[in-house]
Amino acid sequence: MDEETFSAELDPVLAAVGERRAGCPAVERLSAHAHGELSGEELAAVEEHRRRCPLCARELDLLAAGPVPVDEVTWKRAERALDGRPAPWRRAAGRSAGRRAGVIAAAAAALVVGVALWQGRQPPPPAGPVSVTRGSGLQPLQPSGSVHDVERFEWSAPPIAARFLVEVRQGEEVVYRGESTVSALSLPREVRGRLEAGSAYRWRVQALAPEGRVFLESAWVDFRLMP
Amino acid sequence: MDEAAALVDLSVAELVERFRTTAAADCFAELYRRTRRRVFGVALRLVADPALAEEICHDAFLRAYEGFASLRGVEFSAWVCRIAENLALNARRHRAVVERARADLAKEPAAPGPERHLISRQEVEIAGAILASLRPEQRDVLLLRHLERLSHGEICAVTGHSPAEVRSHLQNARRNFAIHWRRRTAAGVEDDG
Repeated sequence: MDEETFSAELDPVLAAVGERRAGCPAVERLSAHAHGELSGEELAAVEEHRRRCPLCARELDLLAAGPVPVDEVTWKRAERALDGRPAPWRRAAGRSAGRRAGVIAAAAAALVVGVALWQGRQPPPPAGPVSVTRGSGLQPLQPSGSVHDVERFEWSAPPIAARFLVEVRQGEEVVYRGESTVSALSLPREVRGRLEAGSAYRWRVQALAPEGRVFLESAWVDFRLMP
Repeated sequence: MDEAAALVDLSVAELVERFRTTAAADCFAELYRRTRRRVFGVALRLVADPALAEEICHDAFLRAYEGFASLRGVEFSAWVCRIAENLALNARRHRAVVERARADLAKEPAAPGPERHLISRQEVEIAGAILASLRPEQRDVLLLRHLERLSHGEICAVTGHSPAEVRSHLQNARRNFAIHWRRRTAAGVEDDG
């Protein structure tokens, strides 16, 4: 049977199998099985499910296979991208080294402010974590303050969060809502095109537990697109 | 001695202890530098997509940084890899839903009425049982190609099969799946009637 004929007839069936995972064990349970942490009835239940469910069987095979040996080209590309992402340990590490590099940092900061004033713009807000709902552990990282562009939203979150909902507002009007399973979300191009330079926006992120309940909510973070 | 040089000389276990007691972020930065390639490899194994693996890797370290206090009795990189595994498995499952929605959007709007076939729960169970009955190498390539939408080259990379083996497994998997599907669903219709 050729690919086209199969796809036309049976791809929707396979997609439905992939989508309806209601009877499958939670990912944490599969991971615990892969690491040999289950015993007794729990172990038997996952083993029994594995025999019936090809998707879970595949996931368990992948977990057992361990990390991919990453080739140099792929890694260099990933490393560059990772280095370009904001990370709290990088900013904080920079601050902790500040005593040693204090003079240089002060000079650089003065230069930044000087350039900003020379350009007739407000200096950017100080780098650092944006305020969050007290004790929430859900911390927006970017965007914040005056920005040139908004390509993506990034935040840090506790390990138990399964999904995130991002909401962007202009005043009380909702401009965008999006969902992500990781602590970042790229803003669709058509939404980016609708953001107006000079206008004030705010965003927040909500963390969902594996069963779908919102259990954390960040504070609203203001940002403004620079002209 | 220079502080940065001193960190390079510490073992991972010593860096973990120092970060736990001092909360000095440069200790975590050093842990991140040493372990992120392995964490990236774990994510890449599960999602087979470097851009998504990079997202997951970064996210796993962000969560590890926030939840460092819960690290107890486990080696640091194993702990972060475990976070990445869970994130990657969630991402795989979420991707299946997104792919389905995207495919539905790309189609012509279906006319309402009996000709629009919705896949029932029973049919999903039948399809799952057929997949489970296929030989593992056929099942894997079928799911990688028709569910995860990987190219033949990507399937070779993920499974370690040669291009000829991938073609052969795919052909057999499609034929076997279709034969069993038609037989089982036709039987189901007759039973219902």
